[in-house]
Amino acid sequence: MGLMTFAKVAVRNLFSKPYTTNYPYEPAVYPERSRGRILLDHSKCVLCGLCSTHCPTDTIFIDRKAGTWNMNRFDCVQCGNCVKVCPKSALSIVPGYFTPNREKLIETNQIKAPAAFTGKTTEPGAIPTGPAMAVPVVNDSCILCGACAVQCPAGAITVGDGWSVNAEACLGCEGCISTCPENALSMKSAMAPGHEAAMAASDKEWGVQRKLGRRPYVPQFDKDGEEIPVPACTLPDYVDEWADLPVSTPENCVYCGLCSKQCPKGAIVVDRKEKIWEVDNAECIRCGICVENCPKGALTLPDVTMDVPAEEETDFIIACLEPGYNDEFVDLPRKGDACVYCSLCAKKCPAGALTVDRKTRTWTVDNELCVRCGVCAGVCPKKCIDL
Amino acid sequence: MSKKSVVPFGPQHPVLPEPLHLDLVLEDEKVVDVIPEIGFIHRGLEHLVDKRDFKDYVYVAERICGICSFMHGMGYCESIEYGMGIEIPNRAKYLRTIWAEMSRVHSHLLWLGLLADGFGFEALFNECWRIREDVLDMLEASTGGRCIFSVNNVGGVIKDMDSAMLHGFVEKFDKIERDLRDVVDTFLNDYTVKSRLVGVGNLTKQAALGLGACGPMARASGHALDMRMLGYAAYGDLDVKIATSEGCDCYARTEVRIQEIFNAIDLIHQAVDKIPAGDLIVPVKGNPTGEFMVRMEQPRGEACYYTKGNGTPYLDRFRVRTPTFANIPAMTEIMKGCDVADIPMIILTIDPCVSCTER
Amino acid sequence: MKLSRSPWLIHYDCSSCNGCDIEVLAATMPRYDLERFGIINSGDPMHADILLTTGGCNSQNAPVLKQIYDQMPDPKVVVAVGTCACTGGIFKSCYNIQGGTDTVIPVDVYVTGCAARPQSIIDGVVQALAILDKKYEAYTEDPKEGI
Repeated sequence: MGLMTFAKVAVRNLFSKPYTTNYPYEPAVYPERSRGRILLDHSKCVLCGLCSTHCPTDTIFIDRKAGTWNMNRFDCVQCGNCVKVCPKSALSIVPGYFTPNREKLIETNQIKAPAAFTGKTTEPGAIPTGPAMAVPVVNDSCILCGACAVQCPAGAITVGDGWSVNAEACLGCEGCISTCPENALSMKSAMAPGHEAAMAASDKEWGVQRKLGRRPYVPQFDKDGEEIPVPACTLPDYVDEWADLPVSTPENCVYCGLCSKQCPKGAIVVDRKEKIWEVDNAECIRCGICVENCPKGALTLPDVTMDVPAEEETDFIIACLEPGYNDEFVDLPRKGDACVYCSLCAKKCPAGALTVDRKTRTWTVDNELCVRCGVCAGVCPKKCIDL
Repeated sequence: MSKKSVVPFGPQHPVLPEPLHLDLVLEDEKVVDVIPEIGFIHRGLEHLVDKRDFKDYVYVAERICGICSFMHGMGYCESIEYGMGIEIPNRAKYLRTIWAEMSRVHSHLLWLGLLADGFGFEALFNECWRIREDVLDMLEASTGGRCIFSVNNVGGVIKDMDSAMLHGFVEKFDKIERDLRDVVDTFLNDYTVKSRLVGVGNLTKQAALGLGACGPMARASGHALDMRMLGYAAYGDLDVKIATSEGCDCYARTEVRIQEIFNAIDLIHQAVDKIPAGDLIVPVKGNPTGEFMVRMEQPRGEACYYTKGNGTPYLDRFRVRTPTFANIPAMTEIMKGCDVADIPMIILTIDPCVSCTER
Repeated sequence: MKLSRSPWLIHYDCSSCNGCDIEVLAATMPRYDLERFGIINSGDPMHADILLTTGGCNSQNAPVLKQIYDQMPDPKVVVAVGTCACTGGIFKSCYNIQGGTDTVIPVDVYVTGCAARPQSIIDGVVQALAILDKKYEAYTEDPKEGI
């Protein structure tokens, strides 16, 4: 019959170090394999929807038309099935739970530009909208060129005498930001204050870098590890007027149609079923937006150089001169007020006579070099050059 | 002739964290009859087989209960593997065995703590759960979760424990065993504890078999029934010792469960010595067709897992017969004639896991 | 005098798998001791300030939950612990589950996780205590309004 059998344990506990972790005052340490929360890598997600199909809780949902990957943070059971089935390894499960909150958060990540984008404004009701986490705001650099309005798939931006955005129609895709030639746009958070603070606090605690925008341009590297620069439009080879069009490499192209959707002139035609990719020479302005936005890096704008000997070059220029124009100053191209300093004319000028500087807003034509060919007037998107 | 009164022992009570309703028919502090009412935790998760692919359903199956979680996942996977004729790699079998025994240790320590709380010995409750935290640390370091492990998949397991990790665990278990000897001494030899447990809730040997008791309830009444002798997972290669006792009362059940903790630690030693190298998982092709059933030894007793497939990725039926369900009739029987103050002891002595029972 | 210096807790399991309940009990155990903050896990609704619920609601336990909530004296806070209590979790498409705790009673703080870790429960309770203080101030000013 034992009395006070627990005394030995009690006395030992009394004189040993406390076993309690000082939790809120010291940070918690979790083992490496601990399953706390799911993280998404935006650059790898292709919106295939496998994670959504295999989620036992139905907490992940993909909206392909809006281009978003959504998850209810307060519904996830941290089973790790989505991580296992993702074909692109875009998901990972990391230690550290999601901070408790007064409201349940549904997190929306914009992975791709919304699918209903046709380059023309459409009625807002025709496009399924998701909750925008941010809306664009414009700063003083805006030149009211309207490129963002043309680009906007929801027709949310209006550019006239001023610039305005319809916050309810805005999808938060950030397409306008990359389109703006003046970098005048930036995204301002449109989340409810409680949501934003809770997500920010949680992210700060666990060191998460969250990207709420569109997938950025992924640089391509050649065999030697050198970065392949985004080719700009260069001198056209008038011998072969097709040579400078953007080129699609068939092995990389997946016929997703993003280039077609992004093209401000609607010059590209893509047919997924027939595996057709075509560009219209008359419409294409060689701006390079399609090359920049191809998710597979399958497009290039060839760096075409004219290998015509110098003498022939001179002849060529002379041949372009219109007969009868002797006054070398009368017929210089003149710039109108609508100029946005996009510098396409300078890129297209065969003689390199034009100098355009976006930052200082200068446009100059060199009288000595200009051959009055009129190519600049032809390529100007604003039609503001006059000969 | 004394009057009978009915006292509702409601779903919210301090004894158990789980909701369980009992209508106690009392006659002057002696219980005459017990009418249990269950169904608060019924979620209807067996019906989810219609909506979830059989490979994804394992995550639902392991959430039947948070204490016996690993064995439910393992039972479901074994039932499908047995039916489809999938032979899982040996390493996966050993890993499942090690995790199952760790799960048994943590479950019994939890029960010992709750029992101590039930008779008012809070310091002992804290001590048992303190030791249990070390086991949970090991489980979290190897699987990623403290309660719900998510390592079982049809075809094997998805996480590995390398030999450095396994030997680290064995050392920690040795330390746990030493710490446990003192605590066990209190349970088995302390005068106050014995006065609460000895002679309470007598279940005779014939009654145990007649009422269909299983697990430690039956083993404490002298029956050597243990499903691990069937040899599923890696138990066929290991030397499994069955703990029995002839006491037939709450004290005997405590003895049996304590002995099972030590046997489990011994099994972990054996498994770590014998674990072979190899793959963890084999790919599963095709869909289950037909009916299959496996039986498993959960910490609470014998559990049967029945699945019925019809050739599509969605199963026709999944049914679990849990040990608590089999022990409840035994519990109501032994409650008759006891004092009101013994009721918490008797409820806890079957190690009730109401969420397993009601799914 | 601050009510949040020593709040008492009551814990009710609606239809949980026990994982979160065990973690709530583990939060009062030596490693994550909640009792050093003055919190006691009482079993009586009439003594309690904080209600911790786990598990989803079904038609059988909805009246029980409502009754416990009504028995608790004002001011009180409700913390829904675990994914099942927040939204119904993995069982929300089951026939017997209506949803999370907020289908029956108003919830102040949601704590997610399956099973919710003791550290996360401590964080949720700490947030709830701040809300409890505000409610207490409002309540002492005007008992009818400040609930």
